[in-house]
Amino acid sequence: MNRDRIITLLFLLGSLIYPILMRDPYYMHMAILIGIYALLAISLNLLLGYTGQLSLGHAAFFGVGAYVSSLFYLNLKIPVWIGMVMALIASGILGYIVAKLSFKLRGAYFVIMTIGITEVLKLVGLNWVDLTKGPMGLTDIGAPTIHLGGLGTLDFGDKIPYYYLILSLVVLCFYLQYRLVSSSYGRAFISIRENEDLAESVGINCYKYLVIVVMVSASIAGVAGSLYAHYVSFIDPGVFAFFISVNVVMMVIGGGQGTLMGPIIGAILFTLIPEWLRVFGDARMAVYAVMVIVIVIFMPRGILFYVTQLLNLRKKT
Amino acid sequence: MIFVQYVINGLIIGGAYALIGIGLTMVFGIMRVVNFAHGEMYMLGAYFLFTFFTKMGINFYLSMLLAIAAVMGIGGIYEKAILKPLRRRSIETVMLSMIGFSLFIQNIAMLIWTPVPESITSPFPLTAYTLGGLYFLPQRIMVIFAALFLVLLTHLLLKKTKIGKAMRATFQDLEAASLMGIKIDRIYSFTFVIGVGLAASAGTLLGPIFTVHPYIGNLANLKAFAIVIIGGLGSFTGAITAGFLLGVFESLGAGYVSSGYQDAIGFILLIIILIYRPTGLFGKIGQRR
Repeated sequence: MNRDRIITLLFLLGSLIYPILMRDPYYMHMAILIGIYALLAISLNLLLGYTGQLSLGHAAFFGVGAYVSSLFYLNLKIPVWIGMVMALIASGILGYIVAKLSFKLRGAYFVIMTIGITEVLKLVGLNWVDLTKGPMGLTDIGAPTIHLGGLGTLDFGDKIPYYYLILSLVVLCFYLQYRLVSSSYGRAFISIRENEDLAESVGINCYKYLVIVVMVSASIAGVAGSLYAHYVSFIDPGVFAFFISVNVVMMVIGGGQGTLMGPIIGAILFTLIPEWLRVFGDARMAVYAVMVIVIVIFMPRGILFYVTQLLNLRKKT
Repeated sequence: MIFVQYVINGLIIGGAYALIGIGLTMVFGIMRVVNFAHGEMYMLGAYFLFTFFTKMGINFYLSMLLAIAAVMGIGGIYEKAILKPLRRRSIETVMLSMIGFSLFIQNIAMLIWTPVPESITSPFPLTAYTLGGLYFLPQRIMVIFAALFLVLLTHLLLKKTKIGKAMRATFQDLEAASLMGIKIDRIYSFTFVIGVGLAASAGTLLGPIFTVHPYIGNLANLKAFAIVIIGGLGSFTGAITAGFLLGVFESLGAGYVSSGYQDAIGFILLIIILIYRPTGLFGKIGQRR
């Protein structure tokens, strides 16, 4: 076994026993949020890290997932699990539309489209009061349950079961990411990132692959949104906040884009950093903005890269 | 008659939109930089006008000029300090540093002016002129004339001056221009400062019509992107046309459909353009990037 595998397994082991070590509800809450953001970061990593397409509208897919799943639950009283699948499908379709429209041209178009769609969905969330209750938001969104036959029901309303639910989905998505990028699809994605014209010339249909990767990415983000809604049980148009999109991009870049573990590390860092920045009071977001600039300029390869480089240096000396 | 009134109102707002649009399209066309802080420059223009005119009581027109100059100064500092060192870096790095800058400006504005919306007092009488059943507020008449004046000024700058010629040369072929002895760094700084100045001028024009708060830049950004893509990225004529078009469509949409979705109209137009003519109204056919 190589070093990366050992580290990944140790990480998984640590996550498994985390609830036993950390009883405090606040730490459990942060862990659950980290898990949800890790899903979002993995989904963006497929797009940004492997195909090099920057999305600044992951909040759109996240928010659509949250709203679709909550509305299905509240209006039709169907089980949460089906709502989650609906969230996945709805976000996937949205991703398909965005990709189809914006990849006719390259460069800034996709970025602008993703920002635009988020703002428009926020407007819809605020103004379609009959459906979304506008700025009041949706309340009483229940948590999923599983009926275990004679053993009673497993209620995910508690933090610890929900934590394990999220953890299992993060592991699943991590595995999906691993399989996808080591398949022929992954090689096509990377070739698009490295040199699109060359990729096209050896017969890779870049447009097709880009549409696929956006759909996959959007679907995962939709599931993350659904999980968020059923966890906090309240959502408002704030789920379409531009800050979420930016923060997810920072997770992928800060953690290490185009690496398997990068988005996980990034999700941990950038879920906690905005919390720590609370010491700055009202200037919190201004400090965060400066951090964004510093990271994209000085650490574009992510913290993981610089840490491993440091370790390798020490080994040599 | 009400239809004509809507169209006129739309054209007036559209004049300011055209200014935002040409500012953004110039920076994109010449520098290949998508200025995500463009809306924030618009916001700052409006806030500086608020401070100089409403708070400090300086003459309205002088306040406008001061506000625009202040934003140009901030833009110039940012260009020198951040954009210049990043010139050889990837487009993602530049875009994200712009996003960071726009978040920074937005939150600094919130610290200085608080998130409470402010309104800039209008120096003009509030009684409208009537002409054949149509109403014209003096404030809005000033907006359209000022906007047309600034568009014309920018046009003359590009067509008649030496630096304008150099800017057009840089736009057409960066390498050839630099081989001919054009100082690219100077052209870039100049373009960026003019670009943000145009956004700020739109802010000073629309500020007294709408309320001013730290988040108005978000929608201004969205509209600016829509205008620039509808007109064709980098096209001056396109940005002007699309600016006026957007103003009219927004006004009609708010009048006949719903004012809640008024701000989404730009994006709807953008989608229609992307479906039928992805390079924009005035973009070159076959251009991909």
